[in-house]
Amino acid sequence: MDDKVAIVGIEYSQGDDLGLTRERLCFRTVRGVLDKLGIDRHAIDCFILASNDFLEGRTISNVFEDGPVGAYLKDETKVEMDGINAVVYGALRILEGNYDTAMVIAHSLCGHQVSPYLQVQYSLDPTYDRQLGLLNELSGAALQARAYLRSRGLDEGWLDRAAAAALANGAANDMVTRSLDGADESKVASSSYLYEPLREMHCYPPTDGACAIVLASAGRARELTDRPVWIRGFGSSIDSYYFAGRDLTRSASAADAARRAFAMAGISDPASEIGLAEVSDLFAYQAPLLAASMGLADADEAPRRFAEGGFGKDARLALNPSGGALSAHPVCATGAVRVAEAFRQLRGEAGAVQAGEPRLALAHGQDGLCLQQNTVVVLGI
Amino acid sequence: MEGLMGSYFTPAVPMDFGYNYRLGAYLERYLDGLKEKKILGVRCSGCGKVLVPPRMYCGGCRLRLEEWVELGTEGELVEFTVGHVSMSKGRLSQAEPFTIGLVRPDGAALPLLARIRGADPAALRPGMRMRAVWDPDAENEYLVLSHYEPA
Amino acid sequence: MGEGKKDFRVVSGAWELSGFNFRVEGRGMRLMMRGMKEGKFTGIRCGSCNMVYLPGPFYCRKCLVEIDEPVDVSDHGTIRSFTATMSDIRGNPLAEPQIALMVQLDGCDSWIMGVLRDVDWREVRIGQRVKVRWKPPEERTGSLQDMDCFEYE
Ligand SMILES: [Zn+2]
Ligand SMILES: [Zn+2]
Repeated sequence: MDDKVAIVGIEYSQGDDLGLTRERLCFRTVRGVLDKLGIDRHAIDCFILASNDFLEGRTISNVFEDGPVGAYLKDETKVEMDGINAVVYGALRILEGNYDTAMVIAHSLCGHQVSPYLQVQYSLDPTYDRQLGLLNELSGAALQARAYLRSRGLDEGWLDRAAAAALANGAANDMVTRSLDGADESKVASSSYLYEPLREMHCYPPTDGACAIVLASAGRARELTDRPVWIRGFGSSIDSYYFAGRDLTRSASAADAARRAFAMAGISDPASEIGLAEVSDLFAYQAPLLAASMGLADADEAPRRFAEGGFGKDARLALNPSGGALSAHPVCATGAVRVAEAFRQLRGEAGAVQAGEPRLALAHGQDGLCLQQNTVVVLGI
Repeated sequence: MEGLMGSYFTPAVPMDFGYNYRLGAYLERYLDGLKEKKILGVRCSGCGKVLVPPRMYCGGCRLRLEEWVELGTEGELVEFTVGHVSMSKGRLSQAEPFTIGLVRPDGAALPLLARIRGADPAALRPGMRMRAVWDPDAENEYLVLSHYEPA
Repeated sequence: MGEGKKDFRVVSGAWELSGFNFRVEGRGMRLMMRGMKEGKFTGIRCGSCNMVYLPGPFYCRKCLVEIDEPVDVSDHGTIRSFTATMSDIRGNPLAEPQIALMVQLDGCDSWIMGVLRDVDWREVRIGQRVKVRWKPPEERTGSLQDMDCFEYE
């Protein structure tokens, strides 16, 4: 896709407990991006919220949030999925021609308000899995982790190193405030088992967070910023609901989502063209699994290279220099944060975690059990 | 106006909802089968796969499944994990270590998630032969197929 | 369906969500309840558009700016809407219909709800002037119950 829809501004924050109500968090985030762009809320044509009613504790929860996000008497809709899908939806609304600007605001308060596991727990089949009581987000991930380790000939020590590598990136990132800063391999290895082989620090932390992203049509984008980041392509794909029937050692739906996004972006060789990838790695095995599934790295080489820091900010492909979802996972905002991280990398604004001068970046979000649903957005300057 | 800025209430809000879910004909027949120590699946006429627990349709072929198949009470271990926590209402609590695994019954394309007992987890390997252990008096009818153990 | 009556087997499940740790913005409500103990209302004004809210939020929904200016609101106002409740929540007839009002208090842009007493419900009209009947000072605790009801001016 040529220069048609751009991201012109971002604002986000994440932390164990930001000490705010959701209204104040949403208000602060939206106000922040509007102030950066020097515009008021009337410059926004449509508002798209991404949140999850389970995690909000009330249904149709966006009706409580339209005020603090600036959507009072505006066009406002909601995506009940990871926020990266709200970015895609916003891009589609602009491409459709009736809107020149869209504000995406994704958030959750899993750091302090509620267990982040509820969302997946109550997505399980109530007539089977929930009656049997064995399956949950963590036991499913543990089965996938072990299947992945086995398929690639890796041991549990690899998981410790992979988690430590991700957390080291996160520790360098000012945009992540996680209490596990400074976690090294031995700390990871001594955290307690949840479901083997997964230990506590192989799993994402419960996180508060919000992310606002302003999208604009080509003409409007150039008025709002002299450095727009263009959306080059996007794609999503969903695998079977029944995780036991899937090949857990890769993600067929991540591969399919990426294939669609690359086709739209005119990318034929993603491994050499994409300079930066931000993926939603909820568990320590997922970043290399996703990178390989999406054709960004060799399936055998990816896990070892990831654990050795070989996808660091100086590498040809930087993979999650932000620390990824393993460093902060505000459910629903996480995929939007990946887009925001890619945005500041492409603009050279990522500070201590800046990974060279990428021209083309990939952002990824997921929903469901064991990487069931995946969405990929390709961004470029 | 001391201390008012940024202050918030933290009210307790009771929100427990009870539901009744209809099982549907396929799961009813599966559970009836368990009472006779039978594991029932359905074969897809498109891809030939036998799905278990049985479902009305094959997602890949978009076909309604009609052919019932009795599967083996033995099968092979596909993957397993040892749990150290249990989850209730989304909250984790410590638990005595227990093993759960994916076991593919002979004749089926998919594995069932089940408890594994009678085996040292360190000795478990994918491909191992497993056998179903029954508990006809189980209060939870899903647990009439109580667990698997090494065959 | 044409299959006649069938007994469906049912399993029970639950969504148990009471573990939420909700945070609700407290400033505007505390400000209002603190005032009510003294027999008055305190709202918050937007310095940008002059809109006065009761109870006051922390932001103005029109201007999307933080607001923090306490302002006195009168306990006299005008009926903007009303309804007469004829039955309790289970549908049993009430001995006396209860009149619920939406009132715009003087000096305030948002409306508050309250009960109107000592008036025949057939007589109530939009635009009618009303005032708050407070509980006696010794019975007020700094809560929404400090306001007994509305009555005609
Ligand atoms: Zn089929
Ligand atoms: Zn205002």
